[in-house]
Parts: sequence; C-alpha cells; structure tokens
Amino acid sequence: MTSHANKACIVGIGHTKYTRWGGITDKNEFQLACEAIKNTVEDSGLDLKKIDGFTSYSEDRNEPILLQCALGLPVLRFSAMVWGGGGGGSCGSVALAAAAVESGQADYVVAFRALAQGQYGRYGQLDPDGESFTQIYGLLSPAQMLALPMRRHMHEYGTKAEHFGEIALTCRENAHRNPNAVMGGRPLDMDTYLQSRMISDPLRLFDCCQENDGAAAVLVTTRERAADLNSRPVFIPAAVHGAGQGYGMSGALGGQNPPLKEYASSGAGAVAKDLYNRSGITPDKIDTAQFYENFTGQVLMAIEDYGFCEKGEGGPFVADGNIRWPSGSLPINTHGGHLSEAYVHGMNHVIEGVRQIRGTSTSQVADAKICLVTGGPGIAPTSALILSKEND
Amino acid sequence: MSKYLPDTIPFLEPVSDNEMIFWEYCNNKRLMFPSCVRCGLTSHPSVSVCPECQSIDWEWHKAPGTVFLYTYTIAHYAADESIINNVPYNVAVVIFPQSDDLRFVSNIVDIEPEEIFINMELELIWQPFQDNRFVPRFKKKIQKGI
Repeated sequence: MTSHANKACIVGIGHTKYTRWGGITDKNEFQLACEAIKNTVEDSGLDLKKIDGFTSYSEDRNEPILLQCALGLPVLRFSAMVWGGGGGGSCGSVALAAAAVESGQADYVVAFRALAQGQYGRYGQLDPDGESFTQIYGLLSPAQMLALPMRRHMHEYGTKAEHFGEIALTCRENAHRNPNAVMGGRPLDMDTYLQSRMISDPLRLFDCCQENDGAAAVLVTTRERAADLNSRPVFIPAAVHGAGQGYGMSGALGGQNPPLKEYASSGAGAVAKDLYNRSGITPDKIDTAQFYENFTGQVLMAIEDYGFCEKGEGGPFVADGNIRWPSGSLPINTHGGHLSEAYVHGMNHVIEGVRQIRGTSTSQVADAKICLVTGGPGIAPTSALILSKEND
Repeated sequence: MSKYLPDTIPFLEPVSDNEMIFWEYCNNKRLMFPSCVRCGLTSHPSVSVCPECQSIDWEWHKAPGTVFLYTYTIAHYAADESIINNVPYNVAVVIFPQSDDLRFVSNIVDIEPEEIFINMELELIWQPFQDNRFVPRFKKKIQKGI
C-alpha cells in the first residue's frame, strides 16, 4: 500500500523548441532528448545528478543507458518503456515513472519523448513495419487507417465534416496564444478547413497532426521529495495504460482490428473506466482536457469514450462550443495540440496539463483544478492520466 | 486482367505461418481464414493462439460468401511513390455476417468513389499480382432479377 507521502507527482516540465519536420538541423535527436531533460530538471530546481530513472514509449530511440552517460548521472536505477507505437504510451510512460518512485525503485524519474521526424522519417508516409494483409491494398499511412473509424462514426451517428473542423479550429485558436506553437499566427477558418485538400476521405489536411522535430519531458518524484523542491507539485490521482480485449495487431492503426462493437471509437473505453475508478474522479469534475490528436475524428470519439457526452454525441458536443477556450464547458488542447502546437507524441499534452494546474497556460482555464490528459487514440495500448491541484 | 493497384506497391514477404498459409491459398484463388479446431472461432489476422480458448490448433475454412462493406476511405494522398498514379483509390473494410467478428481489408474495383456506400453488398473477385500471386478484391454484387 502506497503511503500518502510516497505518492507520485510531477515537479518539472521542459522541452526544446518545436519546428516543422526537418526544421532542426544543428542538433541530433539524442541531443534534443538531453536538452529537454535538462530543461525539465532545471524547471524543478533539482540537481541533475539526482536523476536515476527514465521512461518512454513508442520505441523511443534514445536509450536510458546513453542518456545516463551523456548527462553524467552517477547511477541509473530504473528504465522502462510502454510497448506499442502511435503515441499510445505517452501517459503510460508517466504511469511507469509513478510506479517506479512509489515502489521505491528509483527517486527521480524523467518520462520523455524525443522525435525528430526530419532526421528519421516522416510518420505520414508508408509505415515500413506494416504487414502483408494491409499494404497490398494501399492501406499505408496512419491517416488512411484512422479515416476508417471516422467514416464509420459518420455513418452511425451522422457526424459531419464541420464537427471535425471545429476541433481543428479550436486547436488553431489556442495555438495563436502559445509562442511555442508551430502553427501559431496562421489563421484557419471553417471555409479554409472545408476546402483543404482531402488526404484520405473523410480526412482533410487540417484534420491531420503535424510532422515535427522536438523533444519534451516531465519529472516525477514522490510528494515527500517534492517538498524540498522549488516548484509546486502537480498531483497524479491516476495514470493508466492498457486496452480492452480484441485489439490485437494494435487496433485501428493496424488497419482492421478494433472489435466491431467498439469500431467507431478511440479504443479508450477500458482505459477510461480504469482511470475514473482508480482516481475516484468523474468527468463532470474535469476542468480542461488535453486530448492526443493524431486526427480530429479520434479526438471527437475520445470525448465520447472519456464520458463527456453520450456515445455518438461528440459532433453536437463540439458544435455547441464546449471545447472552446475560455467559454466552453471543457476547453481542450489549450496549447494547440498536435494539430497546431507540435507533434511530440503527446508528451507536450502532459506538459500542457501541468501548466493548466500550475496556472501558467497561455490559454489558462480559470481556477483549473483537474485536467485529463490522453495518450494516442485508435491504437492499443493507449493511456491516460489525471492531474490535480489538490493534495487529496 | 486488370489490376486495381500496381505490382510495385509494397508487399512485405509474409513472415508468420498465418500470413504464409493465407497467401498460399490466395495463389490458388481461395479466400480462406483460420478457425480454432477446438472452439470454432474464426480469427483474422490470427495471433496464432485462440483468443477464446487458447488452443493453438487451427484449420482453414473458406470465407463466407455473403460480404458487406463495413467502412472505407478514399485515399487522395499517395503515401508511397508506387501509387502516385493511382490516387484516388479506395480501401475497404468488409465483414462477413455469417462470421461474428471477422473483418478483412481490401479494395472495391470497378466503382467510382461516389458510388460506394456502407452496407453495400459485395462479391469476391481475384486480380493477379506480381508473379504467380493473386489478390482477393471485391466488386459490387449484381442483384439477380426476380
């Protein structure tokens, strides 16, 4: 049983600059990882030498043993990653870090993601790890794979392009206020959205996340250790990763596998249930949410899966202005998200969640006490966490 | 014989037993799926252990003849240079109502994007691919007269 003092919290956030893919040419991806980690530790006020653990996900290339070497860390006590790709493990890597510090296996664990698509290949192109059952039919890219459940959702519930567009516009509006956002300052209205070129019908250009270069990280320790640091800790009532039965071969992002009864969903049903059960928090208590976007439709379906509206009501929910800052009932992706800040595989969503609880977002939700952050949808395993201001 | 997508499209050589057997049947123009010998569950793509009863014994059965379109996308952006001249093309997920949770990714041939609709009935056709291979695809089922 974890004692109160041993419970995990986030005490540092940090990142590199974010650019369009190929925008960072003076540093390699490993150097970006180190820079983000150093910035994160500096934010917390901790001595870098105290870091003794790393977690990540999506087959991050930057190995903890090399990070330890490069950062001059005396000892490495914990290193682990969440299996699976597609950013499904973003919040899961924080869950691993929390498990490490709560169990006493390590004291200060950094959850990180470094992703320079300009240096290692773009995600919007052919996936070289695909398999024979799908590539031969031209099902090659994530956009094509995740357009399939979007189309099905439109069929079952009458969801419209304008509903997806509302998510794209919301992210862009928030990006305009965020100096880190790659797409900040570039206006986007509904006409421009609707007229943008089709990538994989029903998915248009502005439904798609960006492809970027950048790295981001958060520092996790126990409440007891956090008391000695500068920064105000952000508490983690629950952080979970996993999947329901039937998502073999990675779910929709594998092209065909989500169970039919959950096909028109983000695949987060089991994780959402677990998250709320473990935290004791209900959707109506959540002030703001940072939803991982690979594509707008997956956000719309995640809004349903995490219980902010009934199944199938995601379209009307977003059309009613609920996700807009500052007036909506649930402002989402207040940093601009993957669509308009940068695609750092969801670690930037965790950072934005921390900012909301600290009160330092550029689209700050008034008196935000509880924030939901979700990991990659349409992929299994996926993950999610809840951040809280209150030391329960 | 026509080909919906070119022979140059990436086709990863099948590695798992399941993939190899599947494509071997296809080479003889037979669309077959593995079913669990013990409990009868049909599974595609199979993870090689039955999700229902954990048996590892499989037997292959002919795909059910009734096929409907479950969902689809029209790819306008060529994610690989081999298909630059083929966009827009469709990718379809088809289901077999006689087999509970079985679904299969394919293409619908001889159809314009705007003629495609969810729940349309389809029928199996075969198209040649590279040397000695055949690929199962689908076309709109022509309803016989009353």
